[in-house]
Amino acid sequence: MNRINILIILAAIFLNFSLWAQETKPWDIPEDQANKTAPAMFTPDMAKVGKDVYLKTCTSCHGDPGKNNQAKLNPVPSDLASPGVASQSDGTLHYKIVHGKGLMPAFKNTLSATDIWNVIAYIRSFHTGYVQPEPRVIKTFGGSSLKLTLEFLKDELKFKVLAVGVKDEIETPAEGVELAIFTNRYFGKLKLGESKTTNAQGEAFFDVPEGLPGNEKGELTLQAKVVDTDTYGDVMASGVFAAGEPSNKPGLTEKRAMWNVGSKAPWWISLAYPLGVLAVIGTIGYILLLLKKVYSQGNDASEN
Amino acid sequence: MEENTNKHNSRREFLQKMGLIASGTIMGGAAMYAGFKFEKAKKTESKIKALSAEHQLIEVDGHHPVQDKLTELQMQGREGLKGRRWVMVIDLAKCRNARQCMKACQGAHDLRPEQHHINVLQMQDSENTAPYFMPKPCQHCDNPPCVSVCPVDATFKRDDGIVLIDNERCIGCRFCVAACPYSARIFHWHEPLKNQEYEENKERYSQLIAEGNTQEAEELEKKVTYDVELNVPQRKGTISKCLFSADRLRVGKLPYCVSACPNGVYYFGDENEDAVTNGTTKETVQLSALLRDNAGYRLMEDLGTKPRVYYLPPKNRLFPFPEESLTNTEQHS
Repeated sequence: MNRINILIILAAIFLNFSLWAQETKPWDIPEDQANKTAPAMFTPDMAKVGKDVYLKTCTSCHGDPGKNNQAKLNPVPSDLASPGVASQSDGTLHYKIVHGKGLMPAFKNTLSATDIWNVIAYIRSFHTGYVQPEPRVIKTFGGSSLKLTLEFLKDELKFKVLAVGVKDEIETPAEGVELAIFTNRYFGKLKLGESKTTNAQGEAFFDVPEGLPGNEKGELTLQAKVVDTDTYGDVMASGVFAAGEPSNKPGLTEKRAMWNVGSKAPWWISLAYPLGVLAVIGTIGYILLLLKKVYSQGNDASEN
Repeated sequence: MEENTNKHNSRREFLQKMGLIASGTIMGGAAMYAGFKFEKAKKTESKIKALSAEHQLIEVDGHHPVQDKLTELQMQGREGLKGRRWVMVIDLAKCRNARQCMKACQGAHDLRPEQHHINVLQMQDSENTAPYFMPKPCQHCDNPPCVSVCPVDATFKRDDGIVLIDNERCIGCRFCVAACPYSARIFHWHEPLKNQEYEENKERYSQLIAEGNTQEAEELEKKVTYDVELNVPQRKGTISKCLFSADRLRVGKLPYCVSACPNGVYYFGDENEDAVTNGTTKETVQLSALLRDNAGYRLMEDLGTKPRVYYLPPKNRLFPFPEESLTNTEQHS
């Protein structure tokens, strides 16, 4: 028996180590990702916005840069002002924030592309002697910046997203831009269907999903977004459309039930007590009535 | 002639009756007023005799200040978030017993390590099937047997589906513990974990009030006031249970356990919106599609409790279960 116990303990220790080893395995960052550069030169304004994001999402584990007050985790998160971080490329930091590993969460669904670069700008403000490499050149698609417009085609039950490239105030349709549409939910954004690529007219059409609940009036808050945010930035368009089902389900405590509060008890429970009391009083009254009858009949009999 | 006497008699009788009723009302009213005054006077000065723990007869103040109005937090806690129906989905395929959910929960609700609002169980449905890990919180049933049996309306169900406990009302009868088929409730047999801290806070608070230091007192008030949506401060002799982190939902955050999970086990959201959000990846998916595509199910469906927690089967598990694990009962002999 003892031998089995020892074996179990050994197995547990081994398992522990293997899990531990798994969590501290090195980062595997593709070269093209590591060489990636920011879409623009870092400015103090970017760092300032980045600081707000940092305080909300990063401080709890990484502490304040340069103060060496990280959370006591295993492994201990790095102080982001340290030389070890300063020597990493912008692309490496970007990849780590986007994808995460082990205890470091992936922020691709929680932070926007712009915010991630803002955080990097903030971290870089602690690295003395950091020289930013040339910002990457945005691919041309008939313009230098992209603009989206979102429309609801009521008759065809489709959403139309129009993407145009703007260059020197001249707009040309942007072809081949991958787009996705989302609707706001309480804890996040729900993607509707698959992402689509714009045609030669710069248009992409999305089907309205059947039976999707909106607000009380059936309105959906929609957002159209560019999928490839690295190339185009956080380009989006939003709008509120009456394309969903009105959601007016009653609260769960509306109906009468055993578990509900006194005023919402089932009828039979509410009525049982008063009816019971009435029945007892009625019976006593009936008996008294009978006694009175007996008494008066007795009187009549003696009078006669 | 006869009619006249009758008339005369009935008037006299009427006046007599009226006089009786009037004097009766005045006397009755006076008696009630006197009684009311007496009761009011008694409250402030009366002493009642009681037996102390040392078996000695002592006199104690007969007047106990009864809290007849609910605090703002209690009232707020009784109302759900309008138009919401919270729902949780637990993906058993992803759970690898990291126990971060339990840790986060115990930290938030001041629980001892052996007290669980949520517990990760090791399951094996039959001899020849594979074992798996199953996190088990309160199921927040739509037909909650625990609420039906509560004799003092301490535990209740809200508009948005959450079943809560108000430990200011709880008398510790533990009917609800017996009624719950999911063993979701715990009882505070001992002083709660942070009892000393609660006592110190309370003392400090009354000190600050006495000193008139309202600013610091206000800061401390949050820690002293009982929050139904967090069930803190915990109290000996009362029940505690999973609250779906009602305090976090109010501010638009996912529950403690859901956001603490490193493995993407939990989805949480609003059934009315038909969407749930994963606590780890923060990805939002359609609830109906998730349940349909993965054959989601609820625990003990046949009891008719209608749980608000769904499970996805432990299919294609992403990790191995510890070999010859603790579920092997032979090893315990």
